[in-house]
Amino acid sequence: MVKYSIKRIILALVTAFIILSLTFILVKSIPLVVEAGSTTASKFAFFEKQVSLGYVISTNTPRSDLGPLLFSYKPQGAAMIYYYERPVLDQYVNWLGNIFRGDWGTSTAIKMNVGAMDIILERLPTSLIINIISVVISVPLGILLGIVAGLRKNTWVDHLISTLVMIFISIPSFVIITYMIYFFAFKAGALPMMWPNSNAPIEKRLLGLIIPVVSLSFGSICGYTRFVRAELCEVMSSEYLLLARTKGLTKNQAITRHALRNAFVPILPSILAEFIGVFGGSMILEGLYNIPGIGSLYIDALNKKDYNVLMVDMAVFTIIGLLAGIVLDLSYGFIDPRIRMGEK
Amino acid sequence: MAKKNNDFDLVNLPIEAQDPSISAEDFVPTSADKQIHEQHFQTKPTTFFIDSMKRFAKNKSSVVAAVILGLLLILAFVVPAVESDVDKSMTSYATYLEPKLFDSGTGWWDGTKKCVDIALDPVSGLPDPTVYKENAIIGGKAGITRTGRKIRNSPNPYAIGGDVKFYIDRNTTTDLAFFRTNTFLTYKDPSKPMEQRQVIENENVVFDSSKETFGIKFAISNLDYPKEQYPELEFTDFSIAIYYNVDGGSDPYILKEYKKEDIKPSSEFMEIPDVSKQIRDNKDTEMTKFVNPHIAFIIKNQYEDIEYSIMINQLLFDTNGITNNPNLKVGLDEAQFSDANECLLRENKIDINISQDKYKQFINPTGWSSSSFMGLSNAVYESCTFVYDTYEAALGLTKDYPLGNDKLQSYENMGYFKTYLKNAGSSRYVEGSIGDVNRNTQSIKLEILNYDKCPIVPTDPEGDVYKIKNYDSYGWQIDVNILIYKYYGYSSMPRYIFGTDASGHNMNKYVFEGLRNSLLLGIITSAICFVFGLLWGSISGYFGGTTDLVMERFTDILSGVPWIVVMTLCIIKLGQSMLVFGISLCLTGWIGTAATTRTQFYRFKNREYVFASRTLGASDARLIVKHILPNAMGTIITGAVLMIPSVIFSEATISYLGLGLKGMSSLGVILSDNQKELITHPYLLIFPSIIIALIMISFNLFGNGLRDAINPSLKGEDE
Repeated sequence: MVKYSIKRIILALVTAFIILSLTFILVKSIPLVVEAGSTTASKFAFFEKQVSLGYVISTNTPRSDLGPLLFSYKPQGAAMIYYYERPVLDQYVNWLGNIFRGDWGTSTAIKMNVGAMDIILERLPTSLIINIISVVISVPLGILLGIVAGLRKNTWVDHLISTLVMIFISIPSFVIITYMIYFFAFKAGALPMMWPNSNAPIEKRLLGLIIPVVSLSFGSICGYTRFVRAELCEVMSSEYLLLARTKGLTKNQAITRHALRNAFVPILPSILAEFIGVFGGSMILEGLYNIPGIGSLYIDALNKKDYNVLMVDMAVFTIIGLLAGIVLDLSYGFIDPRIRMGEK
Repeated sequence: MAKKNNDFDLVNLPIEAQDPSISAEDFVPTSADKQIHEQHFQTKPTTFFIDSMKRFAKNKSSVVAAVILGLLLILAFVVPAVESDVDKSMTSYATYLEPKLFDSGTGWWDGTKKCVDIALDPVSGLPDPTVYKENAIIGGKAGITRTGRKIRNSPNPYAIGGDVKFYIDRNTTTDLAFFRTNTFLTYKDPSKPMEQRQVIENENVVFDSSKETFGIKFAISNLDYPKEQYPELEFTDFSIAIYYNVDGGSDPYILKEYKKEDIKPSSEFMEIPDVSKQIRDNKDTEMTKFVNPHIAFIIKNQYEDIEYSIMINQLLFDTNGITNNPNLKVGLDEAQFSDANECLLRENKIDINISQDKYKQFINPTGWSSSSFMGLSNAVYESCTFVYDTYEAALGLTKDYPLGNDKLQSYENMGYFKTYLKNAGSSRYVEGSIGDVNRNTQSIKLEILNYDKCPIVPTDPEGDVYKIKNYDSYGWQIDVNILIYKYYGYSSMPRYIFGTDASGHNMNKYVFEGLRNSLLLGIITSAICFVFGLLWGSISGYFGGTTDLVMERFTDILSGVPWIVVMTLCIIKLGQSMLVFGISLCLTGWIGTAATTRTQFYRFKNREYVFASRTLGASDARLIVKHILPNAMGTIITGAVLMIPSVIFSEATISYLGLGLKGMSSLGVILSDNQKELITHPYLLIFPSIIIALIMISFNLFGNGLRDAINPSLKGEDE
């Protein structure tokens, strides 16, 4: 188990490293763009920072051998400074060093001259709150519905739940969000049309949570219901449950002691992975409901060509995905001794 | 001995019963003379797939889903081919037509929309005549219900008062947000009267603060808004600045900073009585001259999760201090405002050629612009509510439509009307033709002969008189009342059952075209992923060992990349197109198929029949293609079928975020384009979202049914 865990973690680290490196090299091979609306002074500060990080070269004479001129500036009482981009591989080597020192690059458009990681950390709590509430609501509800449907298999309750699950899992989430905004916020006026800002009164902010949380929960409730129902159905038709009944356990005893416990073996790891997932943001929801989280940051960064922020955001999403994968795989082994995937 | 309870125990039966009287005749063979043949199977031999299909047919919901899916597939290819587009030259008219299935006025699905709280023109008693036509209001004037005075937050020629709301959005990236005069002080010839002044390019206006001065007086009404009612209205420090040109760019010169606490209620003016003195008092600069100045209000972006706003109620300039700079004086006079609604109308350049005299002076006015957002708040207007026929409004009767001689000639050639001409100096109309019109012709009279086809709507059955307009060497025009749809060659009012969108697309055709493209994308991408995944999985699964290990590690790493990241990198590197989207989906999409195939190969490759075949000398390729693959195919195909909806889903999602396809319609693109119309024209979203929901549900049900049928052991299990 230990050997397997180490192997799994190393693989994830290697994956993360490869993905991040590829992302960096691909993104950096696009010419550096700095937002046009920013003032010359802030551009100067930005390029000085880039020089100190080793991504840009500054010279006092214009050079033609270094590629296109990024920016030039004449500080008071000093000579003109010209800035050129370094070769991508040089930048890559410097970038590796910078990451270990904790510098993930500077924003070029979203918030000029603010660290990309700072922007992410500032936006993260909003996404986190919505995701945590949604997980806390959707996991128990999904499991409950799944158990109800699984135990009453092929009755009207099961058919109703399964049909609803199929419908809601099929309709794209942006359609659900759009219509929730239309009906509950615009038509009924009961909920805010968009995410209320941080100085809105508390009751408005609580109301503002409803659409994001409900729309996020829909998907995962449906997912869990389907998952739990499938597992439970399989367990219910198993031979050991028949044995449990024949040796005299009541139906409830057999279900709680044998069926549910066994059914939860594959479910529990996915719940753990779900909790890792709260660190990511839903791009669609945050984009549509104007939530200042890391999902909408991703779209913002892409639209405004702020590739430094985009890279860090990509890294966050990648690492969350990998982490969830590790948790999922390893917890299988811890929860169920029969599955020690490392021992072939 | 106790009697045993066994009827067939012949030994213990009484003696008389032991002698059954069975004669030899009882033992006659029944089919002694018949010829006995081997019987053929009554049932047909079945294959795996036929068997699966039988199982599939028993699953009612899947069959229904398959039928719906088939129907949608047929529609996706038939409707775009059959349904006609809106006539190309008519698309500018046929925008935002509501869905129409029944005749207008029937109340439901009839191409009408309910217009609520529309500004009323107090002079004519009709709703905003610049936007709404009287003949398209259902029930005419009687159909209009007045709903009293209302407050609106967007500029309108029939509203008055309000405040300019200038605010910085929390998502804005720039450091400073300004609200400043727009074309202000670009050079206009001041010697001409106001109406004829034109902006002259390349002429600078210079404000020299050592020679002249002016005063600024303004009122901010943030304090007038009750905090509990407008919690989102947070105000902040702001500054008054002069923007001036430097080396092609613009830099702000801060005249005076105001703290939040300095803001007074709008009844009290705040002022800078002498701008030049203010500039002299600013000790740290030696600025005196400002080239092409703009006056601006500035808010600094605090990068907080708050929408900062300044509500400017009035802004006046005292230009008495300007003696020798008429252009600056005129610019300042034009830029001041005491009615926010009117100020924003100038900027929006709404057609202000209307009854209200107060707008007539602004022929080429100085507007205001904002680097972040500006809007109107709290203007007052008279409102009314009515039902409006969008088809009649857009394609119906249009008054005073300028019709050229070419068109008239063609109508005459088709015998739509008879022409009479009246020349200068003559008092009678003489029968003639359109071609006879010359410089001397004053007016023509048209007697309509073909009422069904002629787009010109006469008011007088004897024939209407039209004045010749704009006669020159190219031709001439007359102003007529026409029916737009007839003008564009429709014999009756067109009917679009799902309406039309902002660019005049027939939604019925457009959405099914989008569905077709989405389906094609889904099918092609899935097919490519399927083939590649199959190859990869077979090789990896069949050979095992080191090959498998290397290939597995590769897929492990690749599957760790979130597809949104792959997508983003592709978009950044290759741009936005259908092809790029397909490529990025293919890059990681095959992993699922490969994994399934690999597992299936592990399952089957050590079976006895494979060994048997191998000992008979079958090659690897033969083993894979002939023996293992057919057994594994069912499961793999199901996975590929279920991939199609997920591709459609991804495409729609990405397009909805505005990152997807460019220049092509797909369900996601259509939904994304019409996203902003949700409040104003909800029908544009309802139809495509129903289609996408339907296709997703039926695809999923169909796929699940297929999986259950092909692999009954997996029944009820998902993933």
